[in-house]
Parts: sequence; C-alpha cells; structure tokens
Amino acid sequence: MNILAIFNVVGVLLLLLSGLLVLPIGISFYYDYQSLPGFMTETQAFTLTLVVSFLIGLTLWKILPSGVEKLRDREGFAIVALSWIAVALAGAFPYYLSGACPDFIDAFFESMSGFTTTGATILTDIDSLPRGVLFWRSLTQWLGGMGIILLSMAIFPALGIGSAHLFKAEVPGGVTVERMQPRLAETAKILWKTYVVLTVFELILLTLGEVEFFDALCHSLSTVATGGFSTHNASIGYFNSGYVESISILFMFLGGISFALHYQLINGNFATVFKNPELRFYSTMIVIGIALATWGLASSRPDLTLDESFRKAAFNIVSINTTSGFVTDDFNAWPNFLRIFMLVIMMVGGCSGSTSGSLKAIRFIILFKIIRRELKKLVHPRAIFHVKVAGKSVKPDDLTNVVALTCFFMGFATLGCILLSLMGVDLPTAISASIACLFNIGPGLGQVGAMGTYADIPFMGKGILITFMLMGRLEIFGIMLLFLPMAWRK
Amino acid sequence: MRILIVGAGIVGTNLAQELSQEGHDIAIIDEDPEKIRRISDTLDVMSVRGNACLPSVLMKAGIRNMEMVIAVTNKDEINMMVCFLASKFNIQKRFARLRSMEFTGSGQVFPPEELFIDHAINPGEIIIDTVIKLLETPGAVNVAEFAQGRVLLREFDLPENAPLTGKSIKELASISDLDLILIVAIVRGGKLIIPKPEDILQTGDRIYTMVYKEFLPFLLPMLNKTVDAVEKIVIFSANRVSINLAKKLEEIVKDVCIIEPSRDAAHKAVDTLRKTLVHHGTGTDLDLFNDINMKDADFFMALSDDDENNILAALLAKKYGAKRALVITNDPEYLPILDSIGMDITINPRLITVSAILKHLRKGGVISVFKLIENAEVMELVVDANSTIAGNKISKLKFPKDAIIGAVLRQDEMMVPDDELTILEGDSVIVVALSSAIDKIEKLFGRKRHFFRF
Repeated sequence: MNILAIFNVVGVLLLLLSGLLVLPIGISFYYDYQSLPGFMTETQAFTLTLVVSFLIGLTLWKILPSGVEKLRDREGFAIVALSWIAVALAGAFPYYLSGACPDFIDAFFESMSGFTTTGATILTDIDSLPRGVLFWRSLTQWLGGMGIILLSMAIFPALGIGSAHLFKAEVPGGVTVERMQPRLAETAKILWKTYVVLTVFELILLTLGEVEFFDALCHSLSTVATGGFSTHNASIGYFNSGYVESISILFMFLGGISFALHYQLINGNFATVFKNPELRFYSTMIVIGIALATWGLASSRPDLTLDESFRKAAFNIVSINTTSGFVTDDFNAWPNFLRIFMLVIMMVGGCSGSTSGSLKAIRFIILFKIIRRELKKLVHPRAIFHVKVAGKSVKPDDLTNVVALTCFFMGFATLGCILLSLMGVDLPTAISASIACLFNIGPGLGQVGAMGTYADIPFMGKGILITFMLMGRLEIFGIMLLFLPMAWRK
Repeated sequence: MRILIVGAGIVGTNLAQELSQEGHDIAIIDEDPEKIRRISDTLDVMSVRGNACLPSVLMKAGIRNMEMVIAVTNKDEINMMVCFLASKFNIQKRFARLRSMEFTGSGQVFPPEELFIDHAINPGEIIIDTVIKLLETPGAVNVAEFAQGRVLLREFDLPENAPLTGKSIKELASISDLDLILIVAIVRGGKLIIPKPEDILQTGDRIYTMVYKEFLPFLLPMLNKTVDAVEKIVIFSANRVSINLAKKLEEIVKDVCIIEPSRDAAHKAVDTLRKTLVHHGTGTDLDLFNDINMKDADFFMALSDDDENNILAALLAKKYGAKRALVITNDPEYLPILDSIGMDITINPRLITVSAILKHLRKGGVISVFKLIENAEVMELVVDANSTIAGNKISKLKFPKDAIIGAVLRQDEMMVPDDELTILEGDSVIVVALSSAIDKIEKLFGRKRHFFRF
C-alpha cells in the first residue's frame, strides 16, 4: 500500500474542504449570531477550521509525493475511505467549536451523518441554532450526496485525480454504473453539473412557494442529496404546505434516480430512460409503497381523511425509500405492519449512481433474478442461464459481488443491533438505529424515530453508528479493506 | 463474359465449373496451392495462387480485362476487400458472399452497395428464410419459390385421412377452391410421375403442388395439415446462423431450445437470446435428449458446421421421437443418401450460395431451376418472341408427355394452364419435366437450358 500517495490525495481533499468553508463563513457573517456562553462565534469557528484544514491539507499535498498515476484498486479504496474520514473529522469542528455540539463525538456524528447523507441527528433543538451551522449541515449533505472525490475530479482534473479506481470506490452502486464520457473528469463534470442544475431548480420552485430564501436554500441542498437535514425540528412538517411537500417529493424522487439517466433525459434519450429496468423497479416500489401506506393509515386512523392519509403516506414513503429521512408525520406511531414495511424499504433504497444510500434497486433486481435462475436450474439442470438486466448479461463476478455485499449489509445490521442492545438500547431502537445508519436513511423507530434524535444513544453506540454511516455510504468493501492485513502487506 | 472468382472452396469450384461449362472465361484465385492444383487439373479455367487482397495478384489473374468479380472466400473481410479493389479496377459487377448478418437483411447498417458490393449473398440468411417458410407451411418438406415469391412450390406427404386422397386429378380440377392449385408431380414408390387427368392420389404419395401465394391457406386443410403446428423446436449447435434463426423463432414458436457442445459458445448464445433455452451438451448426448423431452419436439434442426455430427444427431433425435428433422450438410456428396436414411429436409448452404449467384447472373431465358428428385426438375422460363411456343394455344403445342406446364404468369397474374390458354411473348412459364423431356422443352422454348442444382 502506497501510504504517502494516499495521504497526498487526502491533503487535496482537505484543501478542497477549506475552500468550501468560505460559504458558511459568508452566511454566518451575514446573519451574525451571538456566540454561546463559553464558546467562540460561529464565524470564528468556521474560520479556524478553514485555516487549520488548509494548512494541514497544503502540507500533506506539498510534502508527500504524488502517485496517483500508479494507484491500484486497493489504494483507490483506501484514499476514498481515508479522505471521507478526514473530511468528516474536519467538518465536525465547526459544530464543536461553536458549541452546537459540546461533545466531540456528537459533532463527529453530526458531521458524518451530513457527509454520508444519512440525516440522523443528535441535535434536540435545531430551530435555535445559528444559521451558519444550519447551512453547514445542509452543505455537507449536498457535498456528500454526489461525492467529494467526484467533486475534486470535476474541479481539479489537472491533479490527475481522475482515476477509475477512485471513481469506482465512491460512486454508489459501483459495479453497475457506466462511464458516460471517455474521460472520467468529464463524466464527473457532467454529473456535478446535472446535480447543480437540479438543486437550483428546486431552490427556485421553493422560493416561488414563499419559503424563506435561507430555508429554501438549505432544503434544496439536502433534498437533492437525499440527505434529510432540515432547518426545523419538525422537518418539512414545519411548513405544513402541500406545495412544499410536493416539490420535496419530486426532488427526493429525482435524487434517487441515477444521474447518468438524468443526463440521458437532458439529451432527449427518453426511450433509454423509460426502458431502464432499475428506474421501473424503483418507481413501481414507490407506487406500491404509497398505496399500501395510504390504505394502512386510512384504515387505522379514523381521524384522518383519505386525502390526508395519502399526503402523509406519499411524503414519508418517498422520503424513506429514497433514503432521505425528511418527515411530515411521526411514522413511529403508524400501525406495526407499516413500521416493519418502512424498515424493509429502507434496505432497498434508490437507483445506482444516484445520491441515495442503501443497497440500491439494481441489486435487488439482480438478487431476484439470481433466485429465479436457481429455480430454473432445478427444472433444466443442463441448461445455461444468465442473469440479464436490460437484455445484457451480468458478469458472474458482479453477481458474486452483489450477493456478498447484500450479506455484508445484513450481517453488519445484525451485528449493530446486537451491540446496541448490549449497551441497553431498547429493541426497536437498536434494530432501526443500526439499519437507519448503515443504510444512510436517518430516522428510525422508537427513540430514534421521526420525531426523536440519536442524542440518548450511548457513547460507544454513537461510535458504531458513525462507522456504519461511512460503511453504508462507501458500500462496505472500501472500509473493510482497511482492516484486511493482505491489503497492507508489501 | 470474363469472370474472376476469388476463393476456390466448394462454392468457388462449383461456380467455376458451372460458369465455365456455360461458356464463360473464368479465372480463379486462391491461396492454397493444393486447391489451385486440383482446379487446374479438372477444369478449363485459369488459376492463380496468391492473396487476393493484393492488387498485384489480381492483376496477375487479369483483372483489368474482367467484366465481373465474384468473391467467395471464407472470410467476409477478404471478400469485401476484393470487391473494393475491383471497383478501383473499374469492374462493374461485383458479387460477394458475406456471412455476417450486419451487412445484409434487416440488421444492416450500410447497404452493401455503399461498400462497393453490387450484390451480397448471405447463405445464412437464405437458410433462415427457408426454415421460416417451411414452418409457415405445416407439413411441407420442401419449398421453392418462383416469380419473385408469388408462386410457391411445396412438397407434401399425403396422409391417409386427407380429403384429397382417393380423388383423381380430374375431380380435383372441378373443385372451385382449388382453382389456382395444381399438382405438378407425384412421387410414388421412389418414382416421379407427371400426373395425367385420370391418375388417382393415394396414401403415401408425395405430391408437389404449385400454388399461388394467396391460395396457400385453402390448400392446407385439403391435406389435413393444419393440426401439427410447430410448438417445440430443438436446434443443434449455436453458431451465427442458428442463433439468428433462434432469435426469429423465439417470436413465433412457443418453445425453442439449443444444444451446444462448447461451453463458451453456449454462453455467447445465452447472451444474445431472450427466451431460448441453451443446453450444454453434445448432439449425441442421450441423457440430454431425455432432459429436454425430445419426444415432444416437433422439429429437430441440426445446423452445426460439422456434417457428420449433424447427420448423427438428427438420426438419434428422430429415434428419440423428434417428429421431423432438418439437416445442414456442407458437403454435397452426402445429399443422395440423406433422403434414404429418413432426413426430412436437407439444406446445403454451399449449393444455396451457388444457386443464388447463378440466379443473378442469368438474364432472360431460364430464370430459376429447382431440382425435385434425381431425374426431374422445375424450371421457370421466359417466352421469347421467336420461340415456337409464342402465340400458340396450349392444346396446339406438341408438349412432351413427361413434362407439364405448372403455371403461366402474365404481368404478375397467375393463370391456370388449361387447353384454351394462348401463350404470349413475355409470359413466364413454370415447367416440371423429367430429364428425358428436358431437351424437347428446350427446343420448344428455343434456347439452351442452363441447369444448376439446388
């Protein structure tokens, strides 16, 4: 493992982060909130973080030799994993220094939850926080949604970061994402441009709906990223507006679609887009989910009209299915079968190549097809069957990868649940917290439900969940690799 | 005409032989010295050894004086290159065999003309067309088409319970539904009979019928052939032709499966096919035959490139209950024995290619010839102004006894050749003749016959 070259790239990422910190400084300077007793003001906190991460980044980048040309897959994974850890650590300092999260573990949790677009929070009173911090929460989600490595590829192609190893390690649904342009830097640029355009569209639509500009901005950033951080305790429910909810539903849904498909759509390739099996699966799942939840709510809650049930069902199902985590209703109080159903759709998620977390629809399509193939083999033992998606055979290696990853996800979810229970967390909370963090959703059931927070999870539990969020975002293998002795051997 | 043939395989050799006998001047190029030697020993043609993609070799074969180039090597790339070079030598007529499905038919990106090829012949495509046509005519064992596909020649076995059995030809002519359906030949006990009005159809006869395309649906019930629609087809070997065939069959047949001995080829086939089941195994694997229920197979098609394996697989499949078998043999030498060992349909891609090329070479006179069995053939002839037949009623013609006029086509209309019909200049006449009558037919039509085998 070429450790020096790895940290060289981590340095570049820190430089990028310090550049981006200028944005929240601008916001905090504009609103100019009083500092909390015993802490520095948020402007100072951001500036200090900026300066320190700039210095560390510059040192790493200047002193260490660059070796991006000679990267292997394993270094690619290590770079992505370590960069994410470094950036999340650096991003935690504004929360810590400004006193928004007096415990560092909480600040780190919040920062990791932001960058991994999980949307789990330990903050109990969001409305009272200074606006620079609120903006920073949404911005971290926006950056993490499309990926910070991808951003650095798009911004600094000259640094030679445009390596296929890095691309593969960061883009969600790795094995199934196709290159759109001969050069990765160009692909990264297209993805980011599409992302920015979507975000700006939402910002305009929300502002037209008479949402305050600051709220509109923060929500646009975290919706398209399918993140789930809001600027209010009551999340989107705060606005109590059908218009805001429909706009949010639309953009969460769009965020859950592969950005390669958005690009196709912009280029007018409608046929390709509508024939995409993953998009069909994803849309069908959402439609069925909404129908089921509407029926469940309408039949169990006599106080709700059918319209209201539909409105609540549509928003919360889309939010959970796209792994966003915004809420308009406490689904913790929904009938039991719907609570379980929510847990199940958490594990499916959106499309590969989108900003959503979780296992992704494509992996479920492949899993179903593997099962069908096994059944067909029983009937025709000597026939040869391929698992095909959109008429193309999936390579056997990719099939194994999908199965292994699914097992990993399930295994870790179980492990997390056991460990949390061991620390005295109650069962629904333990199960749902470990799933909601590992699959990057955010809100779970029980204590960590739609209206609750992760504040009361024990210290060690928070540590586990932080790891889970990172694992989920980088799809486990990249993190596992860091612990594999074989990867470090000379 | 001076013709240059590139490639001295079965197709090239057969073409050289036919064309040289018809009086054309032939030069042939091949890289294999052994083939060149054999050709110069047996045929009166000029043979040149060398790589035909090199202009110097083409010039050695006298390309500057040629009027036509036929490229039939076993590589598409060489054939295309030869046609390209020939166009640079200002040769007007350029034929090429292209086996890839990307240059001909529905899958083409460029029409062949854009690639400097006047006419591309794809034997695989002809095979696929033939098979699909066979399936569209349940019960037919042989198909041929005349007059650009408007007149169909179909060969049927006459089953016991068919309405036609036991009727005489005269009786049939009076049934109004059968107006444009003619029985032109009967094979009884291995001998071909030109039917006379008093002949009676018997169970077990093989009959050749000429039918105008639109009337095919009326013919089938007369033969009791509607019931055995094809539902399950087993194809042996997955190669370019069989995969493309399976792709088309998937749409029209319920159950298509392929048996392929090579695992790699099988995987490749699975990649491109949608519904077809691909089994890994040899064509003589009886366990596998059991697995895929050969008993229920309506059709077994042996399409591999290996003649012997095809024949063996088809024999075994029939033994295991496949209702009908189709065999592809590349070596024409096998053709005579295949019928006697019970192969229902045989296709020879090489001879298909030869016929297809010859068909395009001929202008006027004999348009196409189709060989029925050993001693009889079907010819499509165009009536010439100065021939003895033009302007005469059929009853006035001294038509030989062992030949029959199958149909007369006048400006795309099919006419029943009864005694009162006058044959005019420009009509195209389809004649079935025993070999003994062929000379007389030629005299009647006033031109030399060009025969080739199909």
